[in-house]
Amino acid sequence: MDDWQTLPRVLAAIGVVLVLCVYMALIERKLAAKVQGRRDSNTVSVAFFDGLPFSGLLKHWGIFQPIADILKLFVKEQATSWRQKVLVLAYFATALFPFFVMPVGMQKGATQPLILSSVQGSLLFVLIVRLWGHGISTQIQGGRWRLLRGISTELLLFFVILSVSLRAHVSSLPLTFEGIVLAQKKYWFVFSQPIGALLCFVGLCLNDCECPYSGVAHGLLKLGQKLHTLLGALLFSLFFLGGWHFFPGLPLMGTGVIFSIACLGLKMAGVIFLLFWVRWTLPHMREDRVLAALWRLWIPLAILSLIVNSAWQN
Amino acid sequence: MAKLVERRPLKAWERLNILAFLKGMRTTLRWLLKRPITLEYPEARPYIPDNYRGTPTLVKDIYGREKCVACQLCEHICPAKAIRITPGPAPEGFSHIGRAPAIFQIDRSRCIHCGLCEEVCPEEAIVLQKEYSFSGTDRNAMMIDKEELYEAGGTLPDKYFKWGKSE
Ligand code: SF4
Ligand code: SF4
Repeated sequence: MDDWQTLPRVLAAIGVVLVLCVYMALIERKLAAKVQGRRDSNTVSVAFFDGLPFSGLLKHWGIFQPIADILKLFVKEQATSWRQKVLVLAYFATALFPFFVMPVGMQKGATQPLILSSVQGSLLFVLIVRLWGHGISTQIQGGRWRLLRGISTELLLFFVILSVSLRAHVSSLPLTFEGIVLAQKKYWFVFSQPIGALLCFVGLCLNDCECPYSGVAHGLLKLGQKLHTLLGALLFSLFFLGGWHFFPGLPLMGTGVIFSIACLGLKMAGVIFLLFWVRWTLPHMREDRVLAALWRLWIPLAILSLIVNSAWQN
Repeated sequence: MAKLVERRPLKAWERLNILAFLKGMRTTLRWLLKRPITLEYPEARPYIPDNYRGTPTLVKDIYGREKCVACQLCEHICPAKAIRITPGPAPEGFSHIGRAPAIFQIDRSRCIHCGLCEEVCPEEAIVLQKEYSFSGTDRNAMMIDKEELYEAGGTLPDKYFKWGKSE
């Protein structure tokens, strides 16, 4: 990768991720409306666009709703203190940065996956950045419970990462996302480590950030949350669902990069749906119970499964 | 008699709430597959049954004559004091009736749609009908006078013609 190519690539990646996030938010709204037995946004249309073909359908689907929402954020009361602004920006950054080191696809026969920058410690980088994000969200909304919850979920994720990368290590693959995905060429880890997958999913279900601001700060924070959901789905698909592999047992079918990206995208969509499903089943969880469950059940289970896994390998 | 329900302590596996969680997931999924139960309100209107208690209106008989005799029973029974009646003389040729309302006002912003006025009226002259949605820019817009009440009421085709005696 030449240096002059880096900036456009990064910008393109950010753009793609943000648009994905915005429309993921729309889909979440639709699902939420369905679950609550009501209709979702279906009245926003664009001026001068109304007479054109499909405009009615697009309007009915609420395609323009996110645009209206974003525009609305700019006319609302804005956050005034610099501390708030910096915190929100930092939270947003912590949600965005992990995408730069995570692969999204691979061409057949290529040595490098599709990735913005492949660094050695990408697993650890993602973990630390996420942890930092939890710290910032605690600064934003206050409350030690939240910080504790963030730390505990990341701890859970840490054990999960250890046990999947152990498998990659045994197959003498590099300890990166790419290595973990390549280790799943034959069978996905969701089959060989179902407990690990469950733990990872629980960890992803539990990271959430309430939003106390209004205006653009609110928008950024919300967007950060959506990014975290997207990131969680990406993590889960890479760790347990075989990343861009089409089917367990089959190597990469076809040859195209597009195909591998589509495979990964489909898996992510599935995981995101599951996450939404859980979220709308359990919209509010009591913090003390979450922590109790984490420390009494999930983290011991994670340690146990790590031990069993490592014993199995040797 | 109140019935006492023994609440047995939960077993260990029950306290994990796995079954409860799965049931919750099933409920959410079921709703996800259902059609929404809400209406697209201003475009789609709800079904209104015939005995619905909407706004009170004044009705005329099939000859187009006003049935109200200004007895003021409705004014007295109205719990919200929404009705104001000023009796006046009956129109020409109907002197046996005695009175008719000169002014008949209903304050829609006070009316609680209880239906007592309809129930008490000896002439079946005031009827609660299906209209339920009004808007106005101030309180005076909610004050409905006689003409508007008759306009909203229309004709009630019933078989009693007390006023028809003079014919
Ligand atoms: S419906 Fe009830 S509140 Fe309304 S005018 Fe009649 S008596 Fe008064
Ligand atoms: S509407 Fe009926 S109850 Fe009211 S004043 Fe007229 S006749 Fe009497």
